[in-house]
Amino acid sequence: MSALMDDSQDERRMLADSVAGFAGEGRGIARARRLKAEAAGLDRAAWSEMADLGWLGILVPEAAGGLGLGVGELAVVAEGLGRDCAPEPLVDTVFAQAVLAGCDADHAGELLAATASGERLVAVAWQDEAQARGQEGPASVPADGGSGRLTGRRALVTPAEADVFVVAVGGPDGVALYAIERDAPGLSVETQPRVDGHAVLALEFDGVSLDDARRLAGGGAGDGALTRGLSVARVAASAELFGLAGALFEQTQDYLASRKQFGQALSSFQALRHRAVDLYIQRELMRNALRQAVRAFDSDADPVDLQRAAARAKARCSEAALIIGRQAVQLHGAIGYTEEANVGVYLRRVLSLAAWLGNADTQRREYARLTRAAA
Amino acid sequence: MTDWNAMDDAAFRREIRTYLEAEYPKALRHPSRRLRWHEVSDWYLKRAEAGWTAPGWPAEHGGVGLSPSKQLIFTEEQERIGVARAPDQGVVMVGPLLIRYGTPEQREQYLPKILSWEHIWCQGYSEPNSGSDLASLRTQADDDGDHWVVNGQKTWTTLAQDATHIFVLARTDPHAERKQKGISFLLVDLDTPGITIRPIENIAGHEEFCEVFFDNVRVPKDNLVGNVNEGWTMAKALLGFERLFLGSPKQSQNALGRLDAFAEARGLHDDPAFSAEFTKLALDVADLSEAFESFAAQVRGGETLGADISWLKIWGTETYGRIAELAVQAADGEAPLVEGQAIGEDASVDVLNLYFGCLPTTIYGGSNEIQRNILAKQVLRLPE
Ligand SMILES: Cc1cc2nc3c(=O)[nH]c(=O)nc-3n(C[C@H](O)[C@H](O)[C@H](O)COP(=O)(O)OP(=O)(O)OC[C@H]3O[C@@H](n4cnc5c(N)ncnc54)[C@H](O)[C@@H]3O)c2cc1C
Repeated sequence: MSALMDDSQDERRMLADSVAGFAGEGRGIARARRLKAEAAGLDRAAWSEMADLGWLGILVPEAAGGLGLGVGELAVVAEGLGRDCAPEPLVDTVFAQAVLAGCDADHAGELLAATASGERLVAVAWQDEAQARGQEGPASVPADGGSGRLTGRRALVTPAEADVFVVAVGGPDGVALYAIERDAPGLSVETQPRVDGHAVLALEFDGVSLDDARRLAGGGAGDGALTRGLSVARVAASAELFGLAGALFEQTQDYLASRKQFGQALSSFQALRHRAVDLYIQRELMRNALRQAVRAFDSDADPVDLQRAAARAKARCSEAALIIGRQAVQLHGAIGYTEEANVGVYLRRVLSLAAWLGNADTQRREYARLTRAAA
Repeated sequence: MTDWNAMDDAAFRREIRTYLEAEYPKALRHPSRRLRWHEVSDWYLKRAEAGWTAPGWPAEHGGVGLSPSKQLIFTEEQERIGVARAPDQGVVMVGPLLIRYGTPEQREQYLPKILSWEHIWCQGYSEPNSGSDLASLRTQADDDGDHWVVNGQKTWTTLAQDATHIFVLARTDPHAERKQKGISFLLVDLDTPGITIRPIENIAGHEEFCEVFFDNVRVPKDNLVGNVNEGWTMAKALLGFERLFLGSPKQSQNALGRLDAFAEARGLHDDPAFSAEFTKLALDVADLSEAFESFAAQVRGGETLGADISWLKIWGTETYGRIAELAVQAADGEAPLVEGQAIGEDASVDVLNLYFGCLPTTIYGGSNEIQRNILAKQVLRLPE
């Protein structure tokens, strides 16, 4: 059963069924393996299939060609993709869309529509290396110094196939956002492979012009857009982690029941039974942390409460998924340490998502900061 | 008479809250140990006069007849304000047992006196050699015509020294093919000759539980509840939605609040290492509360709780334990001071209290290891 539904939510149930249908038996993990082995990049066929199902526009208003659904529905899809270990950058895309949705410039809307159809891929470039290492608060982004040109770096940008970047630029009035094409003069792009087979980008801006045509949101308006985008993306990433961890847990449960040593099933040993229970508890905690975050969005809580709810979900889901993933390998023994076993493929995806947008420690600091500021 | 069940939940909650705020003595809120009967009797006798000893019993037996969802609210409000527990085994166990399995004579004899607190009951299950493996119990009841003759020893019997009666699981058929068979449920007057009660001092220095010895204690046959040799099944059948409260977040919330006050007074929140630990625990409590609410919603919706409720008890009590441990670390050299730790002019916290408070919670109510056994078997269905 999903974390995210009660009986009244038929729409979410149908969505869950359709994700399960898309995932099929192990299609996602097959793509994840191919991605890693062949460094193949985004599977365009799968991506356009997802576009046809409407998921690339799940949050995008119907007027802009999307489904106009909410974060609860998004979480259902992300959970389902996680269960199947599907490697597609849906959450990355939703992050960009949620940021774009908060921008007032006309071409923000055009970009939004183009991402919903799958025609364009957009990535948010919002932090430099120091911020990516958790050394600074997430809302401050490197400034342009008022020159009208951007010089500096942005780190850990995904998806790597993006053809346009939503770049956050700090200024005296707060964060402004600009759309900068991948081939813009003065921008160089470096690719860094990530453990799940995807890559992340390091962007080097050398005097890139921040002209009005590129501006998506002016100083100040960008803060709200970015903050909301981060909250949405953290919840979506949490849901994907919940799906990944749920599958890892069930694979481990099955393995314990079927593998025999000393003439008996591993699951007959109490130490392992109790450990399985502790992992089950971790998964239930994820379900609960996620549920409160979805509820916060469902009830349209104010931005700070959304931030807190998202930080809480991401902290729990990042930590618990890593605990479950690590123990899944342990409880499988040597086979768990191989490429052949599924648990490793899942764990590599967990490692990637747990670290993305703030790991458990970072998110707890964020939660503490927001809580103290509210008090 | 007010039809409480017809009232909407919010109004009912308000009513209870207002009543407790106004009537429940300040000095008895959130007590740091299990209070004795003489300390809480004023409050409970007053409630008895108002007809509120047993909110959950059906009205025809003298209870208030609250629905599970209203009972839940009632318990939540009591927990919120920190109402001290009475020696309530009569209300919690004996009453429901007699209502379900007792004879009309037994009900007539015992229920009114439970409601008036004339009888105070204690629970005689555990024995020196039968704790988690309760079904191995050896206290023996031998058939002697119109009496059972009981010999053996019970232990860890909470507040037996304040009780007038004890209910006992005793072996009536030593030859039954399964140890769970052959156990019967007996109601025993503690004034019966042959009974000795000896209080046991606990780790915190309080006498909250006792040993109870039975030496040829003659118990009238009429005092056996239900069928002979079926005591085990009946005792198990009585475990209802109250199991929810073994996983209540209240203790953890209170403990976290105490630790927060201490940290605030000592400037510990500015220490990144402490702050990281504290925030982690705050989130553990938050997710516990969310889970509690989700199980509570099942009860409100009229569902029976499944075996999965066990994880809530594990997480709740172990979170409480981690908070207490951090409090002891935070108090540093002052941790072992019996008078507690000052946090300003006339306030203090008592980390030992938190620490000793958490210790039994992972042992009683089915130890956490036993809860893990239950989850592995009944929820995860792992083959043995
Ligand atoms: C404060 C307090 C009040 C109590 N009040 C009452 C009361 O009023 N009436 C009453 O009858 N009893 C009462 N008890 C007793 C309580 O029910 C028992 O303590 C409990 O059942 C555990 O039994 P035990 O203490 O004999 O521990 P044991 O069963 O000996 O267990 C010792 C340790 O071994 C573990 N263990 C045991 N079996 C297993 C297993 N199969 N797998 C893994 N681990 C296992 C336990 O978890 C525990 O950690 C009270 C206990 C406490 C602490």
